[in-house]
Amino acid sequence: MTPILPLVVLALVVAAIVGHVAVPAVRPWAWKAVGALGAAMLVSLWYFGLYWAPPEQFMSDVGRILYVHVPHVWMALLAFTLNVGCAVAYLMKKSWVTDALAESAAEVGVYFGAVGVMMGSIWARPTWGVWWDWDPRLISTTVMLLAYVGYLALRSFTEDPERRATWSAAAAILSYVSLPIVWFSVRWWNSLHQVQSNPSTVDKPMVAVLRWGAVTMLCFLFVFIVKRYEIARSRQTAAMELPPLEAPRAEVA
Amino acid sequence: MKAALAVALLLGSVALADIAKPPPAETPPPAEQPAPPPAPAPAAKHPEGVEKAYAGVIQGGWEYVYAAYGLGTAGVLAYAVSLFVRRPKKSAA
Repeated sequence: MTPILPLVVLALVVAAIVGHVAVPAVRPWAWKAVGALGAAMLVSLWYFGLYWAPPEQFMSDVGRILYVHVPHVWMALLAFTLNVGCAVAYLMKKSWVTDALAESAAEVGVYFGAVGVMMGSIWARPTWGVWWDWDPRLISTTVMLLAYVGYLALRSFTEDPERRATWSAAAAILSYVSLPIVWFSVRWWNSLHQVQSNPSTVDKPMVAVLRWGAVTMLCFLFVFIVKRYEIARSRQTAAMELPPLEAPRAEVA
Repeated sequence: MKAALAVALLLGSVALADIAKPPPAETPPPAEQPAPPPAPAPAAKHPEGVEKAYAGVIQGGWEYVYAAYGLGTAGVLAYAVSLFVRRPKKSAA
């Protein structure tokens, strides 16, 4: 994958999400269309991944886990990047929209990351002989996920919406520090986990199926973020409309 | 004349002594030869009939593959259901 491609994909996802948020006319149908496309691609991913793609040279058929494991982790990294972008945008110009988008992206990122790590554990058993190993990539990924779980916990524990938005924006920036560590951990340290593959060294059908899986998960990333955004916005609205808490009564002597 | 002959005999004997073969030195016992390498193991046979398989290739493992694909699909469905359950309620007005 060329270095610029993830940025292009991120820009497309951001443009689609912002378009969905900003243009009310597309809200009723856009997520349904993308969701239906994602569902159809997911069904075909089973066929392409399980039967059409060739077996890997050394891992044989176990290597087919690549087509679902890697796209899940990619989506997590994209969602966390969107999260930190919204956090920085909120700190620069306070907006409930960017705050709600940051919350949505973090939760969806945790979902994709957690499923990706579980898939990696399933893959590790037949290839490494263990379900889990205290390897640099696995440790850094776990720390990253725990940081974002902490981000979500911070949001749920803070009552005041404005304070919650500001504190969680700072937490999002701190949590994002773990992302480049995860990405480069396989190069910086001696890791059981393989380094990032290069399309020039991988069979073309395998690259095609991997990209098919990535587009499939991109569809779900879009749908999940926009639907989770609606939930976050409704909660914000409800919090604004709530009457202030009753002042504690003075104790009667 | 006799003296010259004696000197010649002496020199000849010395020369012959120089070119005489020295007694054989005691040769050390031959070192033990390293054991021959073990015979290569017969090539693994692929269960599906492929004649030659690379050493170290994982055989089987489809249950792990199905588990990973099933987890991905179940995860998408489960998260979609959780979003549906938490969807904002439309106001009666």
